[in-house]
Amino acid sequence: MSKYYIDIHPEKCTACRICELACSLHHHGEINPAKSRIKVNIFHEDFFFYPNVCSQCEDAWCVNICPNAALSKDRITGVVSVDEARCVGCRMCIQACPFGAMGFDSEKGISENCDLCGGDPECVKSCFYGALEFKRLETAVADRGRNFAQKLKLPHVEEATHEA
Amino acid sequence: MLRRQPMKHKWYGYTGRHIRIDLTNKKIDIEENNPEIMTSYVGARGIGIKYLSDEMDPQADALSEENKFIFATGPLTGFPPAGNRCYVVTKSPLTGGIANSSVGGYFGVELKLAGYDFIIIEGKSEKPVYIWIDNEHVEIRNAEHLWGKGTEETEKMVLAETDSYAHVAEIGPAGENMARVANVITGGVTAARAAGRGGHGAVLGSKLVKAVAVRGTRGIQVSDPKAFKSSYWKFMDYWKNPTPTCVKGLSDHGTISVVAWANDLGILPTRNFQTGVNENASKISGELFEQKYSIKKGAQPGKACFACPAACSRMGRVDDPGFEGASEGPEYESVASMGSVTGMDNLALVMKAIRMCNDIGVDTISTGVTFGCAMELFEKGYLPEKDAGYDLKFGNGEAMLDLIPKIGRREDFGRLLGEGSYRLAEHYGHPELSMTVKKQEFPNYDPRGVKGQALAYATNNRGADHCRAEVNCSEMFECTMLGYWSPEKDVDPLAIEGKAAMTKHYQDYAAWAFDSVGMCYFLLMEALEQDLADYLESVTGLDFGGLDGLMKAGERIFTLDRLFNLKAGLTGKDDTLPDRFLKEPMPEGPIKGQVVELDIMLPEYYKLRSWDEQGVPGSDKLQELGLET
Repeated sequence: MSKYYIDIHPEKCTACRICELACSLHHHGEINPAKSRIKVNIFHEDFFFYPNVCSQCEDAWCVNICPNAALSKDRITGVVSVDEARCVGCRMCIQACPFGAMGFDSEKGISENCDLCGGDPECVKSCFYGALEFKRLETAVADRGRNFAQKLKLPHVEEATHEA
Repeated sequence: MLRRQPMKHKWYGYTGRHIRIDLTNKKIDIEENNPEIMTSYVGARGIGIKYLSDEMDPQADALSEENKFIFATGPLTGFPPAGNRCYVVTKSPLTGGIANSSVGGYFGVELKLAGYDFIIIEGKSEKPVYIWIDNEHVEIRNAEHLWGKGTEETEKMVLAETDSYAHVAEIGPAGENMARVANVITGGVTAARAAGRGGHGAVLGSKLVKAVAVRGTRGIQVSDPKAFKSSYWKFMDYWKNPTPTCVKGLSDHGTISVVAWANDLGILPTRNFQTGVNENASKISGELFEQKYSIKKGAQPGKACFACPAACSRMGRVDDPGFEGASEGPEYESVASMGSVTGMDNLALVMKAIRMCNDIGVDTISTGVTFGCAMELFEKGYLPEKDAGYDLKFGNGEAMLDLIPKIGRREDFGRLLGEGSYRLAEHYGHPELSMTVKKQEFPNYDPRGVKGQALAYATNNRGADHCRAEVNCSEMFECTMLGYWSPEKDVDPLAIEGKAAMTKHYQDYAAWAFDSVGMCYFLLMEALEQDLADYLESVTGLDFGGLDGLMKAGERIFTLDRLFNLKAGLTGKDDTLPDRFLKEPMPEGPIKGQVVELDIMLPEYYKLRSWDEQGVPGSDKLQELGLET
């Protein structure tokens, strides 16, 4: 089975944070950005907005550091998930993740991570401008190459027409 | 006596509680909402006027201790799409009547996430303070070190002292010094959002409140998350498949694109509304902005407020020498007021002027129109150069840039400018040159070209204003709102037939829908009334009496605003427009020769409202609305 992940395009993000709203509503039944597993980072002065979410690493820092084997990566779906029964809330995974993508549920006292909503992520569905895309890994990689190639296409054609 | 304990009400959409801050006695109370008041007045603007008219004497001086200041969200603040509005409600130092103004961004949402629907600020502090709300923790903090600072610096300093993820609403020096055009800003200059109209900044300044900072992590509950999800998607589909023209336009070009549009219609206010055609429109237009100053190139969504699909805010950077700077914006009203009403021909300069206004904390509409008034007074010889301190002809941008900080500090001629155009023009003996209704400056659609909007300007409770009845949206923009405009059925902006009914309907709808549920009207312009009513009831689980009940609530809110004004001393005589729009025909352009036939529309409007000839609501109407005293 192919692996999927959430492909992020910060240049399309408008900082509306509707992804945070959709995530908290799905996982916690309330609107609460503080409980969202995706977080929009807003740098007003640079006009730069980055929705940050777990990218489901292959050899994940969080999984490796967990002293109680509460974190594991599903071999089929690729999702890194938290075993609520085993998590002791030591926060080491939060420290270990270099992207700051691991979340923490203060009420339950355990870590929580993006589970891709079981294959139909709410954040992606709610995004108006395609800043988030849920893609098969291979497709995401191919698309990024294709988007780059697209940029070369137009000037190249124009140049050729001009020369002719 | 045995008193029945009120049943504990479980709240959805609403948080169910509010904060009362008594500055005089340094007392903070957390109070429960009254469910009956919430369903009768919905939220935000409605709740604001309800508490204000219950708790204060409308005749009290707006800048006295007796005035109250309310920050209020609505039940759909925090909800998609564009549920981000926070209302500020108080008695206006500019108009002497009710003032309510709405601000987007993230502040209102943060307040609800902290667990409060609204804040009532009363009394007066002895020394400068700011209020820090961190979920359950509410604190009045010293703000002496912030006093005198611009909004940008205030925002940064408060964030550094509280929580970097907090959201702050603050006033600038203009508010501290009680300029009547002072506003409340969130986001500083860089991400400025303003509760602009009516002089709210001066009221906070009079209470010595510099800022309110909020951090909330508690969440907003939904009555039935599963049912909500399906109604939410139904509602969202409205904007996505396909995106309506209005929203697409806002998203691709922002409101600044309206400069060219209004100019083509001949209603772009130019040189203090002397004409509606500006020969320099292309020098301050959205097209020029996109070519030269926009950070995102071409037609693209900009920056959004919370949960908004339109993302109408632009992001501009200016490198032109003397005008360097970057911030969100500019938007149409600011550009037209500071640029067209004042006869400027340099967008870079106008953008700098707007940033400066946001930093000292003054309303760009009122400030721009007051500059326009001063310039006309000057050109006509009524305002001596020694008073102005400058050769204040239309288009003198350098003088405008010099004078803006003086409005904040209330120095020299800046002191009079900060009083607004009515008091300025009256001071020089020519109040007819002040483009105001109820002493509040006009927004930027010349009423001679949008007759329904003209009637709304004359009758809106907070004075000349386009947001409390957006009749112009159907007159100018082909918005499907309220079914008045459709591809088959055009609305003639110059016709006066039916405009009284249209204005009344828009005012009542705006009162509950645009202004009290907590969502931005830019999105609601394209929604169906019934859908919004259903959505509101599904989120809150409360019975508002369906659409009929909500329209009645709208009329109740509008009428209560009216009663507040009447008690404060305003009368039917204030429901008028400056002579310029009633007697001076538009000199040129597509609507050449037009004046506003207010004398025909106004009596029809009063009759529809069941008001007498003096504009006083009849007792039958008050009884019907549950407002009899």
